[in-house]
Amino acid sequence: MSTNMADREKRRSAVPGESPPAVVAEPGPKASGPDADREFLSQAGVGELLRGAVLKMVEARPDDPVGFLADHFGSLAAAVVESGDEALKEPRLNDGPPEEGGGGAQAQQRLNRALWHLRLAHHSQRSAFGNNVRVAYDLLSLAGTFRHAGEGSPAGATGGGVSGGLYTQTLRCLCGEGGVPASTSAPLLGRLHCHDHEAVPYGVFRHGVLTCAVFSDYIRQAQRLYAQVCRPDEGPALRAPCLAVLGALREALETSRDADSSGVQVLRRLEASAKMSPHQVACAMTEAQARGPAGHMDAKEFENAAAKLFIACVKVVS
Amino acid sequence: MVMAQSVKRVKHQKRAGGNIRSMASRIGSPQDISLRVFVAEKSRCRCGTILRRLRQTARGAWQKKERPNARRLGTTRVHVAGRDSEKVERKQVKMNADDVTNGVACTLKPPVFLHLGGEDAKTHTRCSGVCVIDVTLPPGKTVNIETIDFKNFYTALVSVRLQKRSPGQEGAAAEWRTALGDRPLMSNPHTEAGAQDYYSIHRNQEPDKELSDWLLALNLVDPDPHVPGPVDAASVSCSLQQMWALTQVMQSSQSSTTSVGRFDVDGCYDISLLSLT
Repeated sequence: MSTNMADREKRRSAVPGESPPAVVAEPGPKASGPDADREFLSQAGVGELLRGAVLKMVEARPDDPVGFLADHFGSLAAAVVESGDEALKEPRLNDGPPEEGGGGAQAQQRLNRALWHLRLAHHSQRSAFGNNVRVAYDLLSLAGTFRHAGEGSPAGATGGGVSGGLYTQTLRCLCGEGGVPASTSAPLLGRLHCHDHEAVPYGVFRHGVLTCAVFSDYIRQAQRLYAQVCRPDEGPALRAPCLAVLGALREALETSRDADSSGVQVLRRLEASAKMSPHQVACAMTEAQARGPAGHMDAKEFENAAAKLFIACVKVVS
Repeated sequence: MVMAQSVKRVKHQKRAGGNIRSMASRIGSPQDISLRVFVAEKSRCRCGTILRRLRQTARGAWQKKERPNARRLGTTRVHVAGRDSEKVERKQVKMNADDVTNGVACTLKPPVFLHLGGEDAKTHTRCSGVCVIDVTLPPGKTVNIETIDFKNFYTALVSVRLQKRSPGQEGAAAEWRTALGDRPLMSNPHTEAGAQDYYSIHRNQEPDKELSDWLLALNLVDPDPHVPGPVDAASVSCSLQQMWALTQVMQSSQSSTTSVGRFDVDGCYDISLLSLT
């Protein structure tokens, strides 16, 4: 695909008098011939641009390739424009409070772009996801310049980290996009959030983003689990088997919780997975059926109970 | 029943006539016991020779003690002698007519060499290097096995599995439990060390008790109870395991997180401030 696009670029530039739209080219007569074309393309850095676009495409595998490419180049263009603006704006930081409206809109824009990057790769694609988190972090930490206006230094742009408020907002948006209702994710955010005056380092940012991504997968899985426990024609599931299933998960989580050495950890993980074997699950469910509490459990309650188990494993950021 | 875990080298004994000291027994509730000895060799395949030796020695020692069905399946009887639970001293090879004190004869089936490859005669099957010797203890007696003694002939590893069959359970319901897994007999299978030594596998304390207990406990599984309704335990278990795995992903990233430093106060914990000199 990259060769096709490169060819198209070459063909376009070969037509005399016409410049490629995406690249700012020098006006003036164009020399003809393949060497001149190649020189022009390497000067403009088109190869890098296209390679970056194709790599991102392969990582993200979007359903809408054209839209994806449009977003990608749009965000690149915005970054270029912004960095130009930043250079102009910096001397004015010490003059007084920044324009709130402009700052707010820009922060929102950055947030949107950061979220777009975070959406590209699933958390199971370790390296791609890690790269995207890094890009998003760098984007968002630029937005922190306004915080440090009072201290009189623009140092927030480089080393300060992401503003706590922006970080919390990012997490909230991630959970929302993942299909988790706000009420379910609120306790999780309570553990992960940072205050506005705090500067969030990369490690905390990465952990928070990964936790939210994993949490949305977890909730989806819990919804699927509820559907499996549910009998299709009888409405909400019976309370007893739901409790049994959640109990099995809780036991497994408790078993694998604190393991110091790697040898012990392996044993605990084996034990935990044994507690969730089909046999154990079947035993637990039949036992619960026989003597468990009566009544039903609806999907929401099941989801909240499952979320509670997950959130209990999340350490509070401090 | 837990079998031995440690293999002790027995002092070299005279080969001729052979003394096969073997297992102790104790009468208990009627049960069938089968013993399956897995013999794995890495250098040379001489499993059959072990059996031949056993046969020779057994035949030599117990010619007189032929039982009526001694020739069943063309196998050799290896007498199981040993310790009575009340008497501490171990009775050696001498056989009594009384099986209670000395032993239960066990039947050794011919060794079966396991092959890799298809069943089709055209595909070339490779010798896997594993040979299985089935030992059957006669019905009607419980055997609490104390030792297994044998002479090695170029076998590198041995493992012993036990299958209990109660009268109620038949056929496939009986499960195999590994009593001794891959115990090395030769320190280096390509050298002579330990190639022709006598070995005795004793019932003993296991070094890795917790893991092996847990693994043994895993084997004692009742058949799956039937879950009422259309609920599929396997798919529920699968979902649970995925949810658990997601939690583990989160926890593993958690351990390497730096902190925000919310409660840190700079300069408060300078060590030099603590000393009043």
